[in-house]
Amino acid sequence: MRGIDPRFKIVSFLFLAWSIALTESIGKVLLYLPLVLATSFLFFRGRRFPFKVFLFADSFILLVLLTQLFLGSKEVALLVFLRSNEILLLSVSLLSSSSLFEVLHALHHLKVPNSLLQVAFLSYRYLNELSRKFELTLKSAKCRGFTPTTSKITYKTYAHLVANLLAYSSFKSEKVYKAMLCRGFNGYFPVFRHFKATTFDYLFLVITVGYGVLVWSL
Amino acid sequence: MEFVKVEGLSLEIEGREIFKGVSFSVNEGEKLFITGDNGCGKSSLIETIMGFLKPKEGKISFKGKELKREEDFKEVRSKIGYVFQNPDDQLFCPTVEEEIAFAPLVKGKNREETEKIVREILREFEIEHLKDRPTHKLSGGEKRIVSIGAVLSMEPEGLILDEPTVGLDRKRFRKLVNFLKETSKTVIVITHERELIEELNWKVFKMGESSP
Repeated sequence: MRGIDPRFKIVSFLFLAWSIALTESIGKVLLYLPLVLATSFLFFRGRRFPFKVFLFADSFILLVLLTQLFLGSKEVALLVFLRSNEILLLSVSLLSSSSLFEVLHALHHLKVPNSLLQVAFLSYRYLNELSRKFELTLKSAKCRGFTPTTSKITYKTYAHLVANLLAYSSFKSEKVYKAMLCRGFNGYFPVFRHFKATTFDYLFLVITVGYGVLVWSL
Repeated sequence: MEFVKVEGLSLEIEGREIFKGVSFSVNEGEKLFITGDNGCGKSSLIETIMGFLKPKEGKISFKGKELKREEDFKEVRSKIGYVFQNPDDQLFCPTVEEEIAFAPLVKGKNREETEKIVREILREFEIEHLKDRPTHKLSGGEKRIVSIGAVLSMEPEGLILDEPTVGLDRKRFRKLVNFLKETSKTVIVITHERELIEELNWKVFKMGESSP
């Protein structure tokens, strides 16, 4: 699954997710299952299944299920459960098999505005760093005897940590912008490694979208 | 010809004096160390030369031309490669390869030329194995070397390196020293590293003292 061109994965994901979300019969939703399971099998082969992600997502779906079971119909509850889990499985197996940068790069080719993608990429890149910085500062505070409780000093310490982080992110953004200017940044973010679509990518798109169209037209 | 010339430069930030009356010059092909106590404004001096901070008074010239407008500083930034003190500030691309390819692509080089530059830099600094690694997941020393490589890919006429040896292991330190010895570019290095200063034996400008 990793070898498939992300542009093709995004297109087939969007089409399948859209058609699954709009399907109103349980029979039809079940017909999508073989394709969803096949893509998941290809992606999860040789790696651990992310049970935690599904448990977390299903805990929200459970609320809808319970509401439908007690106040609505059992059929709708089952439909919601199947549709949401199929879309979740598809998104994990098709989208998370590429890095975020690859997905954003693919979205650029699919005509998503550049500025939006740049903001998404830089946010991901620096949120990662800010979370590391926060953990490091917290560790440093703990090394100096700080123990979080419900005391005033704990709230004050956390307030300092958050304020520090805000100041750091502002300082960091200025520095990074200067670094970009120093290296000739002019609003355009060039990409060196480009995608090359192969026959296999087209085959993947035809099979997945074709399957979706077939089930939809039944 | 004077590559960079600074005359009577003073800087104030939010009413606080950072440095005052700094004067020095570096000729083309010449190499210079800038040293000085912590907080004496070495990095701020470089940021002023690159046009990021506005001096209170004084003159900065690049190749004999006084720098006044943002356009003048843009030219300086395209011709002088500036390696930041903290490599985390410098690296913003998703992978090492993209990082090194950034400047040539922005400058309008084609794929083949960019590929050649990237390959050469990866080989020169022996970082081919880091090519596909995300930059934020590298070690401190690796980030430092990649940030130097990323700046060299601009093919600049001169280099300004702010504390380039911090975090480098012995092998990478030697690699950098050899590079600095061999390069024909104009180089300014801010450092406290005695070993580097003694081995390279370049002209030294100590901030807070008179010009070299």
